[in-house]
Formats: sequence, C-alpha cells, structure tokens
Amino acid sequence: MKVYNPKNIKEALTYLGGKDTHILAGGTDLIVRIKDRDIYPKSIVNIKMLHLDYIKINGDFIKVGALTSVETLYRSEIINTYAPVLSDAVGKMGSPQIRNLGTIGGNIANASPAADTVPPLFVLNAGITLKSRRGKRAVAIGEFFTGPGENIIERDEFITEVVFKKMESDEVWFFKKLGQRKALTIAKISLAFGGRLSGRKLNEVSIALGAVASTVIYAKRTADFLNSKRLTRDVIDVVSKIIQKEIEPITDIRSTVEYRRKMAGALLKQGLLDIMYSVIARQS
Amino acid sequence: MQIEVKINGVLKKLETSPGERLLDLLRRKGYKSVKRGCEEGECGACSIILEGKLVKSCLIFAPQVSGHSIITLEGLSPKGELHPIQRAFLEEGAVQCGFCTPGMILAAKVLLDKNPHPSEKEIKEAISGNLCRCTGYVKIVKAIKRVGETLNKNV
Repeated sequence: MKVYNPKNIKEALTYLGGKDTHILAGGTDLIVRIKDRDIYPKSIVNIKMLHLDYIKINGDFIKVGALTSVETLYRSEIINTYAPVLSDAVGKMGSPQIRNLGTIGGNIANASPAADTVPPLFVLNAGITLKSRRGKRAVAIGEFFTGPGENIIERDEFITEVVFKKMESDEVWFFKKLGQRKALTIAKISLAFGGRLSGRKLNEVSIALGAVASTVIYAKRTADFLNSKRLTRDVIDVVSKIIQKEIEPITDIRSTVEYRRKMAGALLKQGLLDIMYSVIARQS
Repeated sequence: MQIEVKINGVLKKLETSPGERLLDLLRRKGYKSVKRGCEEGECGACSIILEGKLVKSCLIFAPQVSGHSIITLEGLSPKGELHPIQRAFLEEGAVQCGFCTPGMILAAKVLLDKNPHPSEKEIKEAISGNLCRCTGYVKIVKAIKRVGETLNKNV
C-alpha cells in the first residue's frame, strides 16, 4: 500500500483516478475498514495537508472546508450563529476522540444513511464542491447520495468544500436524533427541520430524515403540507401522521419499521410543538 | 520509512511503514499503556494526546504524526512519581481491571488542562469515548472530580 501526502490540491488530483485509491481525511472510518479487510487500497491519498480546514463567511454564504473536524464545527461561533441546525447535530455526534479526527467531508463522502451532518445539510440545501483534474463542479446535497455508502463522486474527484446560505432570524429549525443511548451512538432515526415563520404561519419548510431509507431523504409531501399553514395543535397532529405515511423505513440491526415510523411522527410533533409554544410565549 | 515524533517530550526517530497504525507502532516501541482494545475507534483504550487533543491511536496511521507531539500515559509520570490524576484514581478506587485506565486518565488530563474544576456533566462528556467494562464509572467520575478539588486547595 502506497500513501501519498500531497501538499496542494493540484498535486492531490494527480494521484486520483485509480480503482483501489482511497482518500484519507479523518481516518475514523477508512482505517477501520482497512483493518476489517473490507477494502484493500493500493494507494491512499492523505489530504490532511491541503489547508481544507476552515469556516468562512462569504456574503450570505458560509463555506466550510472538507477537512474541518466535527469538534471545530461544534466550537465555531459562525456555525452556531448562522447554521444552528448543523451546530446542534454535530454536538450530538461521536465521542471526543472521534470528533477531534472525523471531518465533515468524510461524513458526507461515506454516505451513511445515518450520517449526522447530512440531514442538517439537506435542510440548509448545501452545495458540495468537488474537484478533479477536469475542473470543479457543485452538487446539491439532495442529489449527492445514490445508496448506502454510495454517492456521485467520480474516481478522479474529491470533496473540497461545503457551501450553504446563512440562516436568517425568521428561520426556525430543530434537529432530533434517537439512538441506542446518548453518547457514541449511530442514529436509529434522525430528523432535521427548517422553515420560515411569520407570526404562527410556516413557509419554505424543509424536512430531512436520516436512517429511514437507503440515503438521507427529504420528506417533501410532509413539508408541502406545512407550507403556509398556521401552527396549531391540530395541524401538528395531522402532519405527524402524514410523515409516518410518507417514509418507507426498513427493519435492520438498529431498529424496526414500526419504531422508525412512530418516532418520525413523534420527533416532528415534539419539535413543532416546541416552536409553537415558544411563539405563543413570545406573543403573550 | 522513518518518522520523527515527539513522544512525552522526547524527540524520537522511529522506523515504520505507511500502513502501520500508531497503536501498533507505540506498543511495538514499548509504550504498553496504549491498550489494544476494540481496534475500531469505539472503546478508547488506545487513546493518546496528539497536539493537546484526545484521539484514538487505532484510527491513525503512524506516519500521520510525523513532526507532531504526542503524550501517552507514560509521559505523566516520567520519574515514576504518580501524577495527581493517577493518585486520585488510586485513592478513589477508580481502577478495577485497569484496562481502560490509561485512556481514562488521559481523557481526564485533556479535560482538566482546559477546565480545572469540571462539573459532573463535563466529566461524563469528557470520558464518553472511553468504555469501562467493569462498569466502574462512578468512582472514575469521583476521582476526576477529586483532582479538581485538590487543585483548588493548592491555589
């Protein structure tokens, strides 16, 4: 096995394209997969030295380098202020040791249906920047995944950046995750919610779910139902049933169809009730 | 291939290979406090401190730490004298089989270096990536708290 340690992106791209070439970012998944003989890389391209560890504000947008660690995201004032839904999700991710090594680019590239950063990035409608010797392209996160562990990255490409719009003050959000236990857990189901609120009326609603399908998915019908609705107990009761009908989860080692359906409804209801009550509290 | 790495304050030149994990290199070189546990990043027994951050050495290739500085448990008591955290673990009976202890103590060190008087919640978060299968967490948390209190008295 050959390991390349390129000093810049241009050099890194010259090593990509081979069938058994893997990219080493944080290593928290790759090194375990090699140990488990799940993959046999001929070469590894370590992208640690490419200066892709940054969080920048660019006008209305936030740009996050692919090598930014989970811990850095969690500690970031910028993420906390302008992408609180992502900040909340990374706060619920992994152990301290994993958070120090694991990267946002790696979490996306691995394409786990249970990846914790992905539902918030769906709600933020993030763009993923990919570079190759052929040039660069941006892909919407909603079009990025094709199956468990599968995505649209070509062999000669890698993720360099994640870009999304700043959230504004009229935006409401929440992120909910259920696992076996609180720390170090893989989601049985996760749900990210974003939308705009004027008075008690919702608009531009976006809902993404993790671990209920072969990739993270949007619950589009459920979101459409909520658009231009006033938040009331009745609406919340109805929508928590709609989401259960919209999703098609499976039973696997972590959970069952029935549990995932029920919890999708429960998590949505809980989050929406919290929003409704805080609006009522503000108005009274 | 040869790498240069500062281990417990001493610059070392070590022979390794591109695919050797840091865990294997350290154990091969006699740093036996670094335990081989699950080898998949779950248990925390192989934890070390890399540039001030707690990481798991089973998830890092040895050449990745070339030019960097790491601390293993051996570095806490270079002259054989117990570090205050080690003493607190002994005094509180926070050690049962001892397998998780090096990782626990390093997790405690990273926490206490930044936050000398942590709350119980902060302690639990700091050791959340370290499993104790004797399930002795209560005394471990107590020991870490005790270090905070002892430091307080010394001030």
